[in-house]
Amino acid sequence: MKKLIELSNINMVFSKRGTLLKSEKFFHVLKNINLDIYEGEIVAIIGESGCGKTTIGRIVTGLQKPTSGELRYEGKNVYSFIKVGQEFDEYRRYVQFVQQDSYAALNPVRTIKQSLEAPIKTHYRHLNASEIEAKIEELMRLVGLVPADQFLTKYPHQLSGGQRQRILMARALSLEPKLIVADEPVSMIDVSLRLSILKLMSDLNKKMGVVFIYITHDLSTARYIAHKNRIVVMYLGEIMEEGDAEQIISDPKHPYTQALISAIPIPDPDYAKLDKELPIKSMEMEDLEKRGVGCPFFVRCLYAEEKCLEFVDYQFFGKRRVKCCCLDKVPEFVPISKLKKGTT
Amino acid sequence: MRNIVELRNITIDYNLKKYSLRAVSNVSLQIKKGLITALVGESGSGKSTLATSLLEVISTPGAIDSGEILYFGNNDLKDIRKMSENELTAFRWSEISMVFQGAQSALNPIMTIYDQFEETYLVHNRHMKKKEAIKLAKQKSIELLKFVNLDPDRILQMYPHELSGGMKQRAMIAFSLLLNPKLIILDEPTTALDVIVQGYIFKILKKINVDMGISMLLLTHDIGVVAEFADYVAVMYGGKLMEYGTTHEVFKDRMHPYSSGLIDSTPSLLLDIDAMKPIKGSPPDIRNLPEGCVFHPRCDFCMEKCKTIEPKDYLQNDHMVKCHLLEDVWTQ
Repeated sequence: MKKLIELSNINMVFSKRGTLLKSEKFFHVLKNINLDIYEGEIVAIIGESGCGKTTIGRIVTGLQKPTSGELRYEGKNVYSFIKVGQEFDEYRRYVQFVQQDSYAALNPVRTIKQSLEAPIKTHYRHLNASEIEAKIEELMRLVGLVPADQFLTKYPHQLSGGQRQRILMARALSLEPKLIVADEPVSMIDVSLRLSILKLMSDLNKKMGVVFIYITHDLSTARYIAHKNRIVVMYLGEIMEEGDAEQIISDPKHPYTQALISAIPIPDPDYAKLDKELPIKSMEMEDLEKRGVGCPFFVRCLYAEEKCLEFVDYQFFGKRRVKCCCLDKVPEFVPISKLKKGTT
Repeated sequence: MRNIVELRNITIDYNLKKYSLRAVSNVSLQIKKGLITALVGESGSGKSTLATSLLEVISTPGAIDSGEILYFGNNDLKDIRKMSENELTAFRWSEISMVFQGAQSALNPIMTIYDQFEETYLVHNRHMKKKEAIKLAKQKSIELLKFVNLDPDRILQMYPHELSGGMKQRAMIAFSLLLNPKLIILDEPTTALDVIVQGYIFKILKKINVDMGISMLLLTHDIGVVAEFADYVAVMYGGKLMEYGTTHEVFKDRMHPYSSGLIDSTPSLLLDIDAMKPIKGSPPDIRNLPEGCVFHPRCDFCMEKCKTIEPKDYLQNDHMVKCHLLEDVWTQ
């Protein structure tokens, strides 16, 4: 498989300006991120709030320039593009972004048609009005909003959350992108409709080969969309574990992934009522400001040792990688399906 | 099993200038003493409106149109709707308290955590000498914060913005316990929190439920949380109660197409990927509810009569299902 995007040694440092009394503060939000995205796949990035998953999305889409490290698109460094001029704009066209809050992402005083037209008019100058219209109709059909006329004349507030999210998907698709970064696209949508948006994404991936980076805090939706693909687990700006989705869920190796999976409620009372212990020491995350070089999960980890405070490298198991130095101490995870059924 | 609260035929309208919206229509619900009852529904299903009616704090212009809310307190029975304003003030928080959605906005940003505890305690204990009440308030708040695993010495002097989301929510839970209520209403208590913190908060809530014997009404849209946490489940859709029963009955018997669809549309770590499927269509517009059964346009088992006749409540023991499919099977 061909590599589409490569992130190599990406670091991102945000600073908070100092005042007379306080000195400037630095927040190392992404630390040595290495990640390859291949053609035709769906990658799910999961992590809790503040782990840097959205920042990765912003870097990949070119909205934010990393402090150091290289972002390569089809092997070429994106930030050397700028000198060449138009190429960077082209890159921005190929990589699209779908945001979490569909209401905020659409201009409230423009109709859906106006919102969808704008990018097409900018990027496809040669098209005439009727061709644009045909293109919009085709897009609406793709995202399952038919008949299109019924939606095009409406304003964003007249549509439901699920419909607005589909409009965002249509707008992202209008420039024929190679990659769409979807940042929590279903977290604000009604439960009964979430799966339909996820299904739309996986259908688009199959039909048109659009690569998706699905950013989420919800492992169950990540499993749904990326079950034949990859999951990347992040914690405090570092990738803790990466590998095949089903493998990660049935056999998580990193203590953090294990804790994350144990914390997810199972929608089946037979399993959910079992009294599971959260394999974790403390509830509080480490302060980003005070981070050392060691394992970011140190304070909360049950198996932490002295050596975890020093630099921790990845351990590789085939295509899988885990950033943990005490793997021999971490017990094997008992998958939920293997737990004894409770009596309720 | 005894009930702590019984809602009988509650109808709640929002009377707007041009028209009125029926947010809750003819709902009867029992909240069992000492157990956790979950109220499940999508946004706009009326679950928050129904829950706030228990405290008579429905946001204006909403008002209860008809029905009774019976509260079984200390050996007596009260209709909350018939209470006077003074009675209600004393009743709120000391009998039923509430943990609001997003503790961020429920705590006063310009008061320390302790000051908020003290203020509420003093207002509800006017008959005591002030010095004594302050002493008791201090004692009680330290005890409660310890119970939710927060360090009282540090947290009590802090302002809400100094706490993380999970800590704020725990402080809010401690706050709701301040006056020893018999029932706590939890309105989406973990919606904005991370999964690990969510798991932790539910552990604390379960402890409160078991150790202190406090009944709970949990409002949520997360089926996973319901399965893990609740003893009884009430499913609302379009302002109507569609199903009510024990968690096991609702999840395993699969009597109502909506509850069943909701369970199937919840992504899980356990189920086969192909077994998960969304419910077709989209949630109803409350201004313009479908005739007959409110769920019929999205239902896979829709029959002719579903389109015109509203189903009755069919019962088998405690299990209630509002669906025509059970017409000849269960009793009315």
